[in-house]
Amino acid sequence: MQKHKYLFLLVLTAVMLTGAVSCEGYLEKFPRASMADEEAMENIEGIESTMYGLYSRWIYSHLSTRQLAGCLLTDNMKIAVSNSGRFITYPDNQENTSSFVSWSARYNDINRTNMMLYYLDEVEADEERINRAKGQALAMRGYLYFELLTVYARPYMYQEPLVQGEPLGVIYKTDPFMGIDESSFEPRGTIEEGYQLVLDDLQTALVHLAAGGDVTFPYRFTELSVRALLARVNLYMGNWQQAADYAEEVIQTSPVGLVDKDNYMDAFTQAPGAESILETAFTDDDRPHVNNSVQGVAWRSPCGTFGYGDVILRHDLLELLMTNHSNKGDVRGEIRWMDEDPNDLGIAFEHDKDGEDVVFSNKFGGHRGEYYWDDAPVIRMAEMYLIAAEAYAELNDPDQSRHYLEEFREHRMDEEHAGVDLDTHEELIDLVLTERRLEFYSEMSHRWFDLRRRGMDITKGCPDEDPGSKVDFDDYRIVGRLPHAELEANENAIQNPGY
Amino acid sequence: MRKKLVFSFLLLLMAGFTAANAQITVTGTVTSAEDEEPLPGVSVSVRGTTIGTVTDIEGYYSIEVPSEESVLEYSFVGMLRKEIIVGDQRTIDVEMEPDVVGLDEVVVTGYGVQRRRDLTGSVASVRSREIEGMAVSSLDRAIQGRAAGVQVTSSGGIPGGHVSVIVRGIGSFSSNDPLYIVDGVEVQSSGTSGLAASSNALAGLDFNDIESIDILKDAAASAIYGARAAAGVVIITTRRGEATERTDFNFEVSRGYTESIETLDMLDGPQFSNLYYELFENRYGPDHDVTLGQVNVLQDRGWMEVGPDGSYDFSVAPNHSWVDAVQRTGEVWEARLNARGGTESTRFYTSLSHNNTIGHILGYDFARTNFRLNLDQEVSDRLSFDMQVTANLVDQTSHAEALFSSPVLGAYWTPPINQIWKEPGVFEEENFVNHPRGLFGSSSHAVYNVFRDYTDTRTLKSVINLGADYNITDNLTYRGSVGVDYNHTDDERWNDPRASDGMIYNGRLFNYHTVIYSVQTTQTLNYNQVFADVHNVNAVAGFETHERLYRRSQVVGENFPNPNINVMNAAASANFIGGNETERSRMGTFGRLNYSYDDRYMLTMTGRYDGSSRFGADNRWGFFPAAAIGWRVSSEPFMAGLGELDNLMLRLSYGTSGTDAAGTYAALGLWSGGTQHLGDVGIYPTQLPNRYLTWEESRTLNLAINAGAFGGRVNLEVDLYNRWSERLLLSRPLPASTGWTSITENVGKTLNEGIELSLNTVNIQTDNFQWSTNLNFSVVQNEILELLPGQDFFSDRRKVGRAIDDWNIPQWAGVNPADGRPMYYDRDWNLTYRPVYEDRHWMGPVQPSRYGGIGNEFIIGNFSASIFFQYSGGSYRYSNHNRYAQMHNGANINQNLRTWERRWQEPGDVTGIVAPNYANGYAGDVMAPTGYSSRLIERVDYVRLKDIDLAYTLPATLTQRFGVDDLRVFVRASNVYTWDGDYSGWDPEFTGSDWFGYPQGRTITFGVNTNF
Repeated sequence: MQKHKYLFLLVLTAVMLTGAVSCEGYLEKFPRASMADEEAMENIEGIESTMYGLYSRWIYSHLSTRQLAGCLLTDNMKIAVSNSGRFITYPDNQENTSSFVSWSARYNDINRTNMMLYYLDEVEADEERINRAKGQALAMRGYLYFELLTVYARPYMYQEPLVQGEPLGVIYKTDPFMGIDESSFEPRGTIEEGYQLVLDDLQTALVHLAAGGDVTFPYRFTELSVRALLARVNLYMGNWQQAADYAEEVIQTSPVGLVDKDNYMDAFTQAPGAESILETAFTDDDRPHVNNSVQGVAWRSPCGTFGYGDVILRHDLLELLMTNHSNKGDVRGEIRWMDEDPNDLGIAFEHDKDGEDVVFSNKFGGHRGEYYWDDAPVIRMAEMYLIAAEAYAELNDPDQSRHYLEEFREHRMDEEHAGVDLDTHEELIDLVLTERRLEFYSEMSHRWFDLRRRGMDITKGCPDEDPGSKVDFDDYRIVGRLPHAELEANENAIQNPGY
Repeated sequence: MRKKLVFSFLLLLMAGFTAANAQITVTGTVTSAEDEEPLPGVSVSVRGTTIGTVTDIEGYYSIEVPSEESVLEYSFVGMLRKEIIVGDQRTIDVEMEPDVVGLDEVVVTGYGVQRRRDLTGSVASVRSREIEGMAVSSLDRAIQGRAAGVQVTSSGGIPGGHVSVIVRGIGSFSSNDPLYIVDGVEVQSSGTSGLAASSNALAGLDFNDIESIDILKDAAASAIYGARAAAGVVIITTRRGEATERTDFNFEVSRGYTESIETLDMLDGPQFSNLYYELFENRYGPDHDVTLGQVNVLQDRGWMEVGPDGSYDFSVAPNHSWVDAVQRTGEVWEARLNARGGTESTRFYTSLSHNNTIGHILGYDFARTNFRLNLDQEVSDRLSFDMQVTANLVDQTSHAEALFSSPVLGAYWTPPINQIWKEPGVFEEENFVNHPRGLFGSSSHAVYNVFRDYTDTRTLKSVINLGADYNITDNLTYRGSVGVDYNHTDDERWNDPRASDGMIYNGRLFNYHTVIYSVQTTQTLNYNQVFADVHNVNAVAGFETHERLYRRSQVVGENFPNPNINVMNAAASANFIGGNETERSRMGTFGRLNYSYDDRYMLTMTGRYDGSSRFGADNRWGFFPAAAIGWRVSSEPFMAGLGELDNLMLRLSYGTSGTDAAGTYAALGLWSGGTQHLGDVGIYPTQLPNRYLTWEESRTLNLAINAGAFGGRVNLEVDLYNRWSERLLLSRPLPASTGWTSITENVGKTLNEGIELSLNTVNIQTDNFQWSTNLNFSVVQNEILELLPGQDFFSDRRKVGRAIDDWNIPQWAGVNPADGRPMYYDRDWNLTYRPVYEDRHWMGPVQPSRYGGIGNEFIIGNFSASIFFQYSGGSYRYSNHNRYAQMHNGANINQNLRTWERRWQEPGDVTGIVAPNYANGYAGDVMAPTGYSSRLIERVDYVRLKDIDLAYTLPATLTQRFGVDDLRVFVRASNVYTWDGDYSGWDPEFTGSDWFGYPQGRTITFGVNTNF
C-alpha cells in the first residue's frame, strides 16, 4: 500500500512538471517593449508616430557638431587654449572633421521617410492626414539629401575635381530597406541627380502640404519652411532666379519678419525664435546636456561652473564685429564684458578664461533659463533677405540686391549706416558674404557652406606661422570622408579621393 | 577514534543482514602501507553485489563471496581503493596506500556523477580545499589559474564586479560565457545591476559552501546541456549533510588589508607646468605671442618663475597628488559558521556567512550575507527528497566610472596644480577646495564627488531547488526537480546638488529596479546495471524546461529641495522614466549512455534536442549529439608488470553543442517607442527581421591521455582539441546607405586549437613532511575561418585567418629624431607621415594564447604552506587609458610620468613618444599622434604571485581541552607581486582595452578556523 502511495506521488510529480509546460506556447515569446513591422505601420497613427520619432532624432542632429563644425573649420571660430579636448582637431581641418554630418544617421532617417512613404500608399485614412504625412516625409527626405550632398559631394557649382572622373554625389535611395537584398547596395549617383532629387522632393512636398492642413509652425516642415529651404537649395545650385523667387515669396508670406536691432536677442532667446521659419524644439524629457549642446561647448558661465567654454570667436571676426559696432552701431558687435552684468550677457560676451581673453557667442544661452537647452533656428528670416540680395546681385539687378541688403541692415545697425552704395557684382557679393558671416557666425555651419558653394579658399589665423591654417578650395578635405563601414559593406561605393 | 569505532560497528551490523547464500569464505587483514598498522573500519565488498563487510579493530575481516571470479573491493576514507580477484585464495591480506591526490575523486557531469578515472570527456575540477578562505569576492575569481583550459580575467577589481570566465578560448562573436549550474539549477551569472560600475550575480555565493567546481570542456562532457553548452559548463556543487554521531560545526573569522595592486606615476605640479609651457613652445616657438602669453599666465598663477637671466623655473608650481588622495587601505572582514550533521534519514548542511569589504579606493565598498540550508530526507528505501535553499544579499557601493567626477579616472586626470583640500584627509564641506579653477579648470572634484555622491546596489539572490528521487527498481531511478533562481537588484545613485554631476539638475536621484528570475523543471530517469560482471551500463534520459523573465524599471528624479532629503518623493520633477521587459524560454529532451567493458573500454553517447524562443518558428529546434570512447590501456593484460604505472587511459571524443546567445527577439523586425516630439509619441525601427536565425553550433574533437603512477603520486592529464564554432551569429554590417548598419546572421566560422596539460604530483611524502605540486598549462589559438560569403574581412576587428578581435590599425613608427614629428608605416612598411586606411596592418590576439598556474603545497607537521603562481601570455592590449594619459596635447588632463620622461625633446632623440604639441599640430599631418594607432598596443606576458598561504594547526592535545577538535590560524597574501616586463598599465590582467577602472587589490589576510 505504502509503495502504491509513492508510485502515485511519482506520477503526480511527473504530471505536474510536464503539465507546467504546454508545448505549443512555451517557446512563443513576443516582446512587450517593441512592435513588429506590420503591426507598427498598419495604420496612419503608426506612420505619424514614425514621423514624430524622426523629428525627435532630427532635433538631435542639430546640436553642437552640426552648428559649430563649419565655424571651426573656417575663419569664424577656434578653440580656447585651455579646453576640454572637444573639437580640437577642427581648427586644423584634420582628417574626419569635414564629415560632420553623420552619413549613417542621415541614411537611417532617410530610410524612415522611405518607410513612411511606402506604407502611406497602403493605409486607408483621411486624405488630409495622408497628405500631411506625405508632405512631411518628402520635405524631410529632401532636407536630409541636401545635407548629405553639401558635405559628401563637391559643391553643385564647382563639381571639379571629380571623383574618378565623375561628379559623384551620394547614394540615392527612395525605397525602404526592409530585409537583406544586396541589389540595393547602390553606387553613388551624380551630383546633378542628387540636387534634382532634392528639388523634386521639396516641390512635391509643397503640393501635399498644401492639402495637408495645419502643421506646428515653426517646429515642423510647413509650406513656408519648404519654400525657404528651396530658396537655399536653389542658391547653392546657382539657380538665382528661383532662389530669389522663393526667398521673396517667403518674405512676403511669412508670419515672422526681421527683428529690429533693439530686440535682436529675441531671434535666439524667444521660444520659438522671433525670426525662425524652421526651428528645433526640445522638451523637458529629451533636452541636450553639456557634452552635446552648443551651450555646453561654446559657453561658460560667469563663475565657470557651467559649460566647457571651448569654442570661441576668432580674432579677425571679432575685429570685424566690433568695428561695425563702433562705426555703425551694429548690434551684432556689441560684445559685453562678463563682469558688467552676468545676467545680461548680450549676443556675445568677453571672458577671462584661464588667463586667455576669449569671447563666447551667446546665441545658444540656454532656452527658458535651462542650461544646455539648445532650441536652434534651422532657417531664419535673415537668411531669406541675404539670399534675395545675393541672387539679385548675380542676376545683375543691383537695385533689388541693395534693396534687400539695406532692409536687412536697417534691422541690425543704425539707420544712417544701413545704406548700401555699392554697384558692382563683386562688391555686392562680398558684402552679402560678410553680412552672412556676421549674422550666422555660430549657426548651422553656414560659413563653411558659403565658402564651399562659392568656390573660395579658407584662410584663417596666420598661415605663415600656424600650420594648417589655409585650406585651398580644391583640397580633398573640403569634401567629407565616407565612413569605412559603408565602403566595406558596399563594394559599389567609392571613397572621396584623398582619404 | 571513538567515532570511527561506532561507525564500524554500525556497518558491521548492517553487513550482518546481507551475508546469506555465500559459498566461499575469504578472510584476511587490512593494514596501512605507510606504517603497517592494522586498519579498522575498512569497507570490503564484492563488486557488483550488495555483499559487504568492514574490518574490525585488528584490521581483520571475513566475507562470503559467491564465486572464485568475484572481485573484492577495499575502500577506506583517505586510502586508495583496491580491487582483488578472489581466485583460489582464501586468505587475502591487503596493504592500502594513502590517497593523496584523490584518485577516486567524483566528478559531477550533469544529471549524474562519475568517477574521474572513468571519464571519457574533458572536465577540469577545482576542489574546495584550493579556494577556501580566499580573500576574493566571487568564486569565478577564486578559480583563476587553477584549472587547465579555463581562463579567468577581469576588467577591474571592483569588489563584487564582473569577472570573465572563458573555457578553451573565445570562439563566438557574440557570447563566450559558460553556463553556470548550481546544484542542478541554471543560474544568472552576469551582473544584474543597471548602475553599478560592474556587478556579478555570482558574487553573492559564498564559495566556502562549495564542495566542488567542475568545468565541462569538450562536447562529450557538455552535450548533455546541448543548447547552452558551446562555451562550456561550470557545475557548482555545494556541501551536503552527513549522518554523523553529532553535529559538526566549523567557524572561521578573518581580517584582510588591501591596497591597489599598482598605481601609475603621473606628472607632479612642476612637471605639469613645464609640460604646459612646452606645448606652446613646440607648436609656436619660444618667442611667439601665444607662447609668451602663456608664460605670463603661468607666472601670474605662481606656477613658474622667470629668472633674471630669462630662464624658466617651474619648480615653484604647487603639487597635489589626486591619485594618492583617493587611495586608502582597504579592509576585508569575514566570518562564517556552518554546521553539518543529521541522522541516516535526515541530513543537513547549513551555513551563515558575512563579508564586509572596504575598498582600497574611496567610495567603493562591498558587503555580503549568505544563508544556506541543504537538506536530504529519506522517506523510505525507495523515496527521498532533497532541498537546497540559499539566499544572499550583496550591498555594493561604487561610482559612475569613466567620468571626471569618478574617483579613479578623476584622480588620474585632474591636473596636479589643482588643490584638493585645505587639510588632507578631512572630509568636511568647508575643507574642500571645491571646483578648482585655475588654468586647468574642471568643474568636477573627484574627491568631493565621492564625499557627496554614491551609487548603491543591493542585490538579493536566491536559488531554491526541490527534488524527489524514486527508485522504481534497484536499477532504475526517477528524479523530478523544480528550481528557481531569483535575482532582485535595487540600484540607487545620488548626484548631490552640491557636487558637479548633480548641480545642473539641482540634485538627481536614480532608482532602478531589476528582477531576473527563472524557473526550471527537470525530470530524469537513471538506469544502472552491471551485466555478467563486466558490462557496466549507466543511462540517463530526461526532459527539462527553463523560462526566464527580465524586468527593469527606471526612475530618475531631479530638483531636490534639500540635499539631505534624497528620496524620490522629494524630487520636484522627473528627469527620466523608463523600463523594459523580456522573456525567453527553452525546452529540451536529452539522454546519455555510459557503457564500460571490464573497466577497460568505455563508451559514452550523449544527445540533446533543444528548442529556444529566440529563433524563428522554422529554425527553433536543434539537435546536439556527442560520442566518446576511452581505453584504459593499463588494465590490459599485456600491460601487467609495468611497475609504477597504475593508470593509463586514452580518450577520444567528438560532438556538438550549441548556444542561443542571440538577442531575445533577434529574429523579429522590431519598432520601439519612448521618443516624442512636441509631446507627440514617436516610434522608430530598431531591428531588421531575420526568420532564418538559428543556433550557433560548436563541434569539438578531443584527444586525451590520462596517466597515473607511483601509487597515485603522479597524475598527468593531457588534452588536445579542435573546436570548430559554426553558424556564428554575426552582426553583418550593412552599408549605412540602406538606413541600417547591421543585421544578425548565422554566417561565421572559427576554429580553436589547443593543448591542455595538468600535472599533479606528490613530490615528497614522509610522516611529517609532504610536498605536492599542481601544475596546469594551456595553449589556445583562435582563428576565424569564415566570415560573410565572399568576404575575408569586415570591420577592423574581424579577418579570416586572424583571431577574433584582432586590430586592423595604423602602424606607429615613433617620431622622427630630427624634429619629433610622428611617423607611421605604410602598407609596405615604409615610413610615412600620412598613413591612409590601406596602410593599416593587423595585430593581435587580444586573448592570451598561453596561460596556466602552478601551486606548491607543503605540510610540515602542524604547519602547512602553499604558494601559487598564475601566468598568462601572448596577448595584446589596447591601452585606452594611455591614449589619454599620453596625449601631451593640452587637453587639461594630467599625463603619464613615464611618457613625459621619454618624450622627444631635441633633435637626435630616438624615442617613440611624440613631443608635447598644442592641439596635436604638425603642418600637413591629418592624423593626430594621440589617435588610434599601434602606439597604444602593447604585448602582455606576465607571471603573478597570486597567493601565499601559511597555516598552523594547534596541537589537538591543547585544543581538545577546550572541547575544540582542531584550531587553525592562517595568513594569506594575494596578488603579492607581478612580473610584467615593461608593461605600462597598472594591471596586465585586463583584457582588450583598459580604462581607468577600479584596480585589483593586493591583500593580506589573517584568520582563524576551528572545528568543534
